[in-house]
Amino acid sequence: MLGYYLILGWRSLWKTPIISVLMMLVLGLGMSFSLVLLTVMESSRYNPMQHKIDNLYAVQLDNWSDDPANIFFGSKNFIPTAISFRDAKALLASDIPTRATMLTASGAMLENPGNKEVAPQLHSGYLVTRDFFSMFDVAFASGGAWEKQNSYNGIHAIVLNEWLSNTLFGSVDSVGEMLLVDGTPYTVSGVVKGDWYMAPRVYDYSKNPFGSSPGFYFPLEDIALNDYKRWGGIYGWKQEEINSHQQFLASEALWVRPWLEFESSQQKELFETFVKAYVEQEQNNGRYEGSNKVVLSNSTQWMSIQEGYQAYADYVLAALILLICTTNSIALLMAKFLKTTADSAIRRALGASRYSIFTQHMFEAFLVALGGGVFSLLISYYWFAVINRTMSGWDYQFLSQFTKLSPVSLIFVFVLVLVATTLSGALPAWRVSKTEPGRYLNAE
Amino acid sequence: MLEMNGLQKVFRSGLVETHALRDFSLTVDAGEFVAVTGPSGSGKTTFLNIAGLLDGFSGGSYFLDGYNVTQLNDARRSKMRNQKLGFIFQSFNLIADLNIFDNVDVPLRYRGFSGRERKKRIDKMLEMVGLLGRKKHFPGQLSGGQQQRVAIARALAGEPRMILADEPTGNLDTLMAKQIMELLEDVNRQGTTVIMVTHDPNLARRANRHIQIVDGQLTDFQMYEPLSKIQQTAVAV
Ligand SMILES: Nc1ncnc2c1ncn2[C@@H]1O[C@H](COP(=O)(O)OP(=O)(O)OP(=O)(O)O)[C@@H](O)[C@H]1O
Ligand SMILES: [Mg+2]
Repeated sequence: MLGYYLILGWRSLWKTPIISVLMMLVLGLGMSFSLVLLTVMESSRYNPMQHKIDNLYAVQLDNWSDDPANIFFGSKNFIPTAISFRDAKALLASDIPTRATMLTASGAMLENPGNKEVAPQLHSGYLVTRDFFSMFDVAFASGGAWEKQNSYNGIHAIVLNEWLSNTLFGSVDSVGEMLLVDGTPYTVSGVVKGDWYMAPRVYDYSKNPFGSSPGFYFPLEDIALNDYKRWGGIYGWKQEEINSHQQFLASEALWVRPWLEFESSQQKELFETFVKAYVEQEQNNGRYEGSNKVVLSNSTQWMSIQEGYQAYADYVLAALILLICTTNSIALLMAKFLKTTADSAIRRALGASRYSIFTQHMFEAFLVALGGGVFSLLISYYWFAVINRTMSGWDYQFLSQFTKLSPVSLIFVFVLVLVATTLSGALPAWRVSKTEPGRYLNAE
Repeated sequence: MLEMNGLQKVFRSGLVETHALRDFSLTVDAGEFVAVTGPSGSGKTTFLNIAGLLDGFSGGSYFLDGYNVTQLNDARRSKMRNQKLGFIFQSFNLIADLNIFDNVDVPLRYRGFSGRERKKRIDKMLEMVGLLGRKKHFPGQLSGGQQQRVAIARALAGEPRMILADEPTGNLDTLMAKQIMELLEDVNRQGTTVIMVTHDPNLARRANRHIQIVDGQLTDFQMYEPLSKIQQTAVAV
């Protein structure tokens, strides 16, 4: 009997080949598009710092206006994701965490004064403090982080990415060499392996977390002397008069991302208490009108906080596409099935039960689903090929690492298309099986 | 074979209620050939649909081959339609997308016969109605009479106990109508009960029982006695 239903379904689809193929194609397109979207989203949820999940924490302070008309990102649940420079200094001064780093995206004109053949060039990098490298497992090709010094009087050391070192100094090891950063002399303390990367860069979402590795890292402390570029996000709420760089550093502008490393939860609690005390003290000084809330998030929590700000737009889009696809196939199947109601009535008269009429139409829907599934696989393969080719350019090299279609997700999509479409055939099939045969059999 | 008692059938469409059958009672014995006549809209088709388990009813009782129909679920009814009943319609109701062979095949598929058994039966039936040579043809390629013969082959393929025919000759010319009628009479002679709705008094007269439905109710004619005898009685009075 099942074979009979398959034959009937096949014949029925073959009767209107263009509509059938169109139905499958639309399904395939929609499903593969959502698959691509989901895969990219999935890869963005990969946490490269999972192995330090209990050690690394980002800290958030509620240094925002208490004006109800001025809420951070429009939600009372959100508190700022960056802190001010003066608070960063205060947190860095604590001995409680095993390690701590304060960072922000930056950029600078780099120049090798010893090689006039290479023109000065603008590169993007990061302002960090020296613990950054060990906290986020940066792999060095040679050298390492700069020496520890609690100094805001100019550390003047820099870590270069291997490719940038090669650009500026050629193939020689640049550790110990001197270069000009926005005109100021810096000494190279380390070179990061060219193939080392982190995606997404959990430590900072304010600047393309899937982009290529930063070209260089230099001390955040040095910003006390020089107005280096800040290319990360800056949040602000307070009307302050800022006429100089020093005024900016002392202001409530929020732009430093603080990360801490703890070895135990006691250590973490201790630090939390310390920060709370600090915030309360600052409240006494007339700062922190928001609240004394202190939020410590591990790297995974941090990622989801960052996603929260994106308002799940991607999910909504994927769901919408799926909805449109299934609605489309429901409508087309409904139209197709209702056209054959008279045939179903004849079959009923000849002994087909409601159930067998239903099953027969479900098989047809199943065939459509099968076709849609095959199309979606073909299209997905094509799309992933296109994406990988497009993103093999330097800026997306890391994203492309994740956009390979795995056999598991292939099977997942296939089953998803199959189930979704077959189910979408249920309503039309049920409608047809429900019609009373009598009235169709005697119509002239 | 068939026993209806006080059947009621009401159609509701919007505010309009149509009493298609009212207090309808009829008993048909196995092996009878019953002709049903009556004015248009009197409820003949409604009666056949209910008799054929294609439609329900609002009141009364109906026993088919000893089964109380009201107590059967859809699956059981469908099975009864498939095994005990054969339908023939005025508009033939062949499935246009299937060829002649596959049309006759439909009830046998639901019956669950093996491929070999189905083929044997289909060939036998098509031979009986004289269309074996056309089994690869589609309904659209046949004349009305030929289509109706296919429909009869289809109705008989499962060897039903009862044939329900709704104006089977309504769309055919006299010659073709005669052929169809002879086919049905043949079938009846072999023991199959036949209930046939017709507008043609000449055909109705050939049945061994003639009933009339008027306004949803039954008027029973006994046609066993020759017509002339009744007329004679009338003259004598
Ligand atoms: N599905 C329906 N909905 C509403 N009314 C219906 C329906 N089917 C039949 N009727 C009504 O029931 C009554 C009986 O109809 P039926 O088809 O049984 O008549 P008939 O005797 O077969 O007529 P004809 O000789 O024209 O075929 C008619 O008044 C008809 O309008
Ligand atoms: Mg009728």
